[in-house]
Amino acid sequence: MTLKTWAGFEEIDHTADLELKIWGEDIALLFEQAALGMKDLLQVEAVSPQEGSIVKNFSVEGIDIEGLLVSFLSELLYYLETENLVVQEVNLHFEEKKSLDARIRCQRVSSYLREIKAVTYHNLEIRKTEQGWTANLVFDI
Amino acid sequence: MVSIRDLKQIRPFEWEIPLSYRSDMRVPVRIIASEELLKDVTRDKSLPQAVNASTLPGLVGQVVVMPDMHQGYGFPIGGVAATRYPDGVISPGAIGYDINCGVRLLSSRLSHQEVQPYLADLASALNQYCPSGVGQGGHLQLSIKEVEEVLRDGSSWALREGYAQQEDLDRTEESGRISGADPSEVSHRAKSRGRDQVGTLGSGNHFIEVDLVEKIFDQRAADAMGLREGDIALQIHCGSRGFGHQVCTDYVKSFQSAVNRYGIELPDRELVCAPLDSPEGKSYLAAMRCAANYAFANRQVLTHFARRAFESALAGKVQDWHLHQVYDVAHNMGKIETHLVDGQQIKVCVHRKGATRAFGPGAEDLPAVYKEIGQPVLVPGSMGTASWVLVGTEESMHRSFGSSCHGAGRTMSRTQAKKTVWGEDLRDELERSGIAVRAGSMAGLAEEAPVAYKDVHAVVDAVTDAGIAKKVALLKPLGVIKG
Repeated sequence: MTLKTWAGFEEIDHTADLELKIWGEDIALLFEQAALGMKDLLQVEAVSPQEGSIVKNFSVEGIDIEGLLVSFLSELLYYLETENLVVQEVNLHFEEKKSLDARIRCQRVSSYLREIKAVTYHNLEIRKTEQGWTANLVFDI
Repeated sequence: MVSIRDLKQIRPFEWEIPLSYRSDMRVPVRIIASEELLKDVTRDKSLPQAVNASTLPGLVGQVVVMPDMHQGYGFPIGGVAATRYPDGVISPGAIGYDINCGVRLLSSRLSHQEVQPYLADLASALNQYCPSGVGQGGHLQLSIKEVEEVLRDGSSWALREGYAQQEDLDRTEESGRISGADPSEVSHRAKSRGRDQVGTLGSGNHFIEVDLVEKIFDQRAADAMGLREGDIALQIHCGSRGFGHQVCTDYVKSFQSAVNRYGIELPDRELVCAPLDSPEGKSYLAAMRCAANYAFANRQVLTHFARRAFESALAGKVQDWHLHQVYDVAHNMGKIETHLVDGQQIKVCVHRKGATRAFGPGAEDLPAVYKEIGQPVLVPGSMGTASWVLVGTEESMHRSFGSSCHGAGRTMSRTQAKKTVWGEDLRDELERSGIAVRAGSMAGLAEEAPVAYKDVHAVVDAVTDAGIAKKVALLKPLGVIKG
């Protein structure tokens, strides 16, 4: 029997920008939910037909775990804007709390409705709870 | 949360959160608003964010928030803060990711009657000539070297390349080229993102709008601007696109460690900053100016293609389809300016985020044509409602570091707006009221529904009644182009 994993994301009301609550049993799951949640906010309409998945390998650094999360998501935004890639599957390897190696399976999209300008540090704090880790992320759109 | 009870009325339409409200405040917060608008303001986090902004090191005078304020990230939208030059700080988050997001207004000698039969064609031509929407590149594909020329020269680059007339530059803030821009302070990644986005509108709340000059309130100022009642005008609202977003992203990241080096403690990490005279502060200022120039050039190239759209839809059908620049002004920017603080003229860095520069008559930086009347202030309202043209006043120089409001200001989240309004219904309603709508996404249209915004007339009444701007003209929309 496998237990259901504690991980997810939920959009929170914000007057002008977009806010996500994310949670995960461990830090890797938390980061994965942040990536999937950000993809959800983009409102992907269509993926490019006849093209398989594309793998991207990259490393990012941050001053701390929150900085690492913003750097990781900013990297995904860069691939979106320059190559129209959105994340499908995430594989992360953390080096302490200040750097990570990412292997991301992506999909090329032909149409999405929302432009996210940036991932912000606004009130960003990754908190430990009884079940795992949680944070709120604000995106500038 | 800050409640109305915490506010002290200073004078009509101006309120204060005093220094005593929180121990880490360095200056008070002043709010320009009517009593009615104050109720909206206390519903979201704008005021706590303004209090956080008032903790930035080196602030002078007061943090001012405009009546169109709303909650942002870190620094509230509608906020103005001035830091002493050169030992005060500069904060990328207090300027925003869309550096030099701004508005341009063009006038014409084309009457509403003349254009009415061709309005749908004109809206379609603008939609076709001016690239808009998510992920859309433009007509131009620049090399990195050409991007660097745009960053250094802004609208002057556009003039050299045949996308501008000299009068456009003469009637642009900073003549469309802010000096001190240094492309070597910008990442290769930002430059790459900038290669195909000069001359693109983007999405979100950015738009091109065909307007009718419905009513003139100040004939002398309107004459100077070339605005005539019953004629057509054009507004363009956009910024520095992915280029500016990347510049801000890069520097908010690098300033995370700079604050530790300079021993700066802040209530929100998005407010990270560095002294203006530090290596980090100087680098950001030079990079931010590149993004400012990129945005000026972007709106200039869009103007070129809007002119081509007017020609293609109207040539041979009307007498004069030409568009003349009224003004182009930023509403997300950091500027080194001289202001009177505690009886002394001092140099400061004015951070305006969702606030428009609004210099009064006689200000040094104004073009000759606006020297006597004051600087045009362009205040686009929510889609399908109305926009205002104002001018800055002497009062704005003394009370708000020469700044005024920038729009209607949101009151409802995008998700809530979409639950309240269907994009298709909104489009049909606008079309029925005589407004031609061209929108890339119906969901995007619903997010920008007028119901999600404050009443622009109430916002403009608050700044004009407060005395920090004066009414010149009221514009009514006839055609809206959105990404």
